[in-house]
Formats: sequence, structure tokens, C-alpha cells
Amino acid sequence: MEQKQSLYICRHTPLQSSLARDALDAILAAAVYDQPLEILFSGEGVLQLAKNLSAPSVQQKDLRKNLMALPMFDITRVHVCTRSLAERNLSLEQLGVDGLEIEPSDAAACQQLIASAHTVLSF
Amino acid sequence: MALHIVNQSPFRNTALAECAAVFAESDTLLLTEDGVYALLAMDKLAPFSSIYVLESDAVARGIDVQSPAKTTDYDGWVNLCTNHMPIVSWFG
Amino acid sequence: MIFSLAIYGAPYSSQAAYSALRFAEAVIRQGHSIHRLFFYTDGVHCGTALACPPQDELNLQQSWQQLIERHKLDAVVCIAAGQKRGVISEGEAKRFGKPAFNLAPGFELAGLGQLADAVAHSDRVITFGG
Repeated sequence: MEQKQSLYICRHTPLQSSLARDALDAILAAAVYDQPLEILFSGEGVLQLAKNLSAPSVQQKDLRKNLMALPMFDITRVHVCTRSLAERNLSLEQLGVDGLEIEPSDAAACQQLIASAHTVLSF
Repeated sequence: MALHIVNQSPFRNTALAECAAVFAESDTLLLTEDGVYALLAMDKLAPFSSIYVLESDAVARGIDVQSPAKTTDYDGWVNLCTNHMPIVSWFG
Repeated sequence: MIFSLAIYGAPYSSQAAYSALRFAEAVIRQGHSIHRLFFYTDGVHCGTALACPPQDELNLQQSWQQLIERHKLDAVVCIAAGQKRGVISEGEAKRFGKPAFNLAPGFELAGLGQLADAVAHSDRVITFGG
């Protein structure tokens, strides 16, 4: 397969709809095919990375399990939009997923992620 | 040069604002579906250097397309896609 | 140019599935090709054969079926998203012991690898979210 850079933008809360998990399923499938990809959590999507999520309390599968699966597919870094964090009074310290480096990205960095992508899949 | 597609009213959610935050000077914005309601608040469109509006969606909602926004149709949308990369959708 | 479309909007819940249909028609009209239509999340409802909208409304599901059959398009309903929402093939109905199936002709059930494949083999992938 051709090696074209993809960017996955995750913009929805962990539990509003199935989109958060559907995105991670799609990302893992792409990773199986060794497609080079980056992941940006933006807008409400930054809430997916909160350290203290406990989805089983509303009978949903745990999103964190999918997030923690990423390093097994050599995805060890994700990007988070700092503007979206600030809007929600969140700090980087309140985010965390075992095995994942969460890289803060300002507007210019987010622009660069988009500009470097051949394909952007939004979720 | 990215093409950003926004199909949400800016009065309903932050799709347009999130798009504006990462919009680069050489990018293009296409407003479709409820995204055309952004034309009711031109100040929200100030960050965008190039704006297209899907005409049938604007007409369906009774929205007048004013300069600097330009109208296009589905064929025009396809052309925008061939002339831009990547394509970024901002939805609800 | 080679296009693929990822469609997440359910018919009648948002305009996304309609916009995607009109966009796909325009892609074909202009002589481009469509590598794949990938129906995901709520978009899987586009693949049902059982929708019966009133006669004075557009039958969106049927419009998709006609476009897919006329142009022999590769149309995939994500199997996991479809199973969860009750859009299943005859084989799946048997496998799960369900009384009926509803996957429309022209659509096939397949996994997310088909989305990854679409990304790899298309010049442009457009997301239609609700």
C-alpha cells in the first residue's frame, strides 16, 4: 500500500455518541495496515483523554481500553489542541493515557498537522 | 491548501469556530447544509480568506449569499476537492 | 481523480447522507471515479432495504441503491456498526438467529480495513458527518 500520511481529528465527547470509539476502531484498523497517521483531539474531543474517565458506570465500553491499545500498534503520541483545553479550564496534567505521549498543539501546530496530511478523517 | 467543509450552524455548536482556529491563509471554506447560517453573522466569517457556499443549501434555508462569499453547486464542490488537499469536514 | 466517501449520517436524521448522494453523483458526472462508499456509524442505515418513506418524499436509501447499481460502485456497510444497529445480511441473520435481514442489494458488509484501504487507494476521501 502507498504510504500517505493521514490525520484523524477526534472532536466528540467520549459518551455523546459512538463516534469517539468508532474513531479509535478506524485508527486501529489503519494501524494494522501500517498506514502512517497522526491523531488530533480537538474541541470536545479533548475530553476523551481525561485521566478519570469511568464509562462502565453508564454501561458503555471503556474508551480508555481502546486508547491504551494504540501503543500496541506503534502509535505512541497523540496531539491535543491547547485552545480547546483552555476553553474547558483543563490542563495537560488532567489528561493521561498509559503508554501515550500527549503533545500539546497550538493553532499553528494544528494547522501544520492538517497541511501535512494527504487525507483527513473527522470523527 | 486545505478545503474545510462546515455543515453546522455557528449558533448551534463550535464547528465553525474550531475550523476558524486552524484555518490557514491559503485554505478555502465551504459552507453546506446548516453551515450556511453563518451568513447571518458575517463577523464569524472574518477569519476566512476564501468562502464558498453551496447554493442549493442556502436557497433551501432562505439565506442570501453576500460578498465576499461565493456560491457554488455540487459540481463546483467536486472541483474544490480536486484543487485542494486535504479535505477537512467539521460536523456536529 | 479517485474519490472515496465516508458517510456517517443516517437518512432523515441529518442532511449528510443526502449531501453525500448528490456529491457522489457530481463526482461521477465529472468523469472522476469512486473507489468506495464506506457507510459507518449511523450512516449504516443508508443500507437498509426496508425503508418505506411517503411517496412525496425522496427515498434516500433507494436513491443510493440505484446509484450503486447503475455505476457498479463498491458500497461497504461497516459490519460491526451495522450489526449493532440492525443492518445485517442474510448470512448474518442466520449466524445470529435473527428472523430477518435487511441489507439492500448492492451493499456489502465488511470491516474497517475497507476504510483503511479506501484511504490508501484514493486521491481524496471526504467525510459526511451528521
